[in-house]
Amino acid sequence: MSARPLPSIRQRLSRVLGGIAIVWGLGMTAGVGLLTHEVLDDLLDGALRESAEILYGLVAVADRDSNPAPEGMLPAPPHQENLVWQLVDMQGRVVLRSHKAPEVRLTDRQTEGITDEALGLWHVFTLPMRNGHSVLHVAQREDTRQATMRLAMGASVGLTLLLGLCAAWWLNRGLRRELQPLLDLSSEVAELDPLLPQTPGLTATRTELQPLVDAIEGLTQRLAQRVAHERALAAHAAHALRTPLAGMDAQLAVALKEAPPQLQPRLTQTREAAARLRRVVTALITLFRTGGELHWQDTSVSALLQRLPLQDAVVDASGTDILPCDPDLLSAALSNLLDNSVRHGARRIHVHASLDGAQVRLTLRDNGRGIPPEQRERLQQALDAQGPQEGLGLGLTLADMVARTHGGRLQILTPDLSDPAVPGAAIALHWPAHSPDEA
Amino acid sequence: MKLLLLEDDPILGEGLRDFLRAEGHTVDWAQRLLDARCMANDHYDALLVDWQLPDGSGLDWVRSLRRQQDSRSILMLTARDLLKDRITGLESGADDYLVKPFEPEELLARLHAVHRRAAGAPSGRKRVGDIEVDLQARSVWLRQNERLDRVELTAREWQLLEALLNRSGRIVEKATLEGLVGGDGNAQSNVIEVHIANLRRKLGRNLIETVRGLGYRIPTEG
Repeated sequence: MSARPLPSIRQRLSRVLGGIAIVWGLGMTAGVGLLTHEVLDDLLDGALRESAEILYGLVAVADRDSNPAPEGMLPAPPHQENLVWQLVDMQGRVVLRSHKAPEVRLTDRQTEGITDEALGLWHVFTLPMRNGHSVLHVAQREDTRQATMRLAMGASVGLTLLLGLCAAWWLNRGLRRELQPLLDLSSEVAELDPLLPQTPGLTATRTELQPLVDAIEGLTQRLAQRVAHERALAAHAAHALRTPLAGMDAQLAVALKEAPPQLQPRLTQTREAAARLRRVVTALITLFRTGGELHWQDTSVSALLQRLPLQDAVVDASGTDILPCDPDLLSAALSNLLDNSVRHGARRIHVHASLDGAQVRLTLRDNGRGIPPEQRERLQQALDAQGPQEGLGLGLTLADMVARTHGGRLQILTPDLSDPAVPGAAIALHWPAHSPDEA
Repeated sequence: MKLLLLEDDPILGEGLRDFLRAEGHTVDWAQRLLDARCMANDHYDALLVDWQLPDGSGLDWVRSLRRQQDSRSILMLTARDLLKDRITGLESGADDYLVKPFEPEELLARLHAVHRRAAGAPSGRKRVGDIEVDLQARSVWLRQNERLDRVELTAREWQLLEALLNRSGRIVEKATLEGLVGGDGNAQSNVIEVHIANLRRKLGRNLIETVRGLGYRIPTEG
């Protein structure tokens, strides 16, 4: 199974909404900026025009009545001028000007209209005088206009971005809140045990989740029916198989007592085959019936081994004696593994158990013919893939299933040649330690 | 031992009957609960009972036997191997519980173990008067002058001795002993007397008492 994390709906939606918020923010910013620029430009031009028209009247009156001030300036108190003006005759001389206006004409334009960047820093509106021998230039400094525009645009952009960020945060929060029922439902499904009749049903807290809840409940009902059916079948099979197996063995035991000597080896072999059949069937029935439900118990490995009938090999146990496991299932696994060893020529089998904090490990090493290295790899791959493989006997498969039912695995090990007593096959079963109280 | 086997499966029932007979036990085999109820008289030393039978529950029968203060050894033989079934089986009054499929040798070993406990001889050896008996090895020794001498018994003599030992202190009717050793059913038959006389000759005159008109008894000590 790949460890690659799955994409998160929340993160993906957040990314999409964040992207939309950024694009929207940038678009809005550009739009507002351009609009502000245009509107302010028009407003300022309008103000310039209005000012020129007012000045036009004043200058026309002043031209008639007043004596021009020295250097062509109208007299005025010291002040800051944001707006300057000039009255220029047809020869381009400045006849009259405001206090801060330059002494040279701002532009040579003589028709009504706007001139940008006159003398490099003025924005000028020109208005010809009615007398036809002079024009009025009213001007603003370009940098003053730009500063005003920057201020307006900055404020608009800042406000837009702030609103965008607030919207993104609010959307994200809303998203998280709306996805929470899905997480709650997942927790309920994780707790769901379709085989327990008193398990409370699932609750759909959103309309959209109702079909999912209905589908899961339908699935659990089908699952419960199937498990009940399989359990009934297993119970029936247990009775239907166990009694004839016991009968077969009893008849063979009697036949061995009664048969003439030349038939004894054949009958002994038949009885051994019946014993194998009995072990495999018992293991299968045990696995089938538990259906993955374990009865965890602290189990003595040595006591378990003593109960396993094995006539042709010596089994010795070492290491930790008490292990947490389902004794029936472990007994089924060990019975089949020991049987495998004996069938492959082992006469001595060493079982070593260890309990390393969170991990239980049970290793079997024998002095049989062992497993060739290339076959070892193939068998391990077949066990890992849980697929069929030639040569993968039922014994190994059953033991692997038992380990998997405990949450662990079966491993085919490299033989330990340093121990001459057991240089043959080496198999390990390992599973996470599970306290009986937790089960 | 005289055993009553209640097992409905013909192959298993016949196999167990013949195996136990070959091991020197007297076995009656019933395939139905109804038959077992009729046969279950006081003659049996132990009952081997299947749980699920075509005409009822062997477990319920065991319960009713225990309610009637029946103290004979009872082994349950069953295909039901769940922990709760095993507990129910043992709590119903069975002395042991054997899950099918089992090897008949294991059944025999458990039967011996249960019988040893019931006979008050957990080690398998029992001492009565001047004799010492190994119930499992089916051997008997006679103590004479601080020496134990092994005594050879025939199969029938052993069956009679075992039947009387299993009921020490109680009177065992002649008819019961005839049922055990397969008498000819003739009231005038003296098969039992002949075997008892042989036992007294081999094991001492005082071991077996004759209770006139009733039967025989091995008295308990003390």
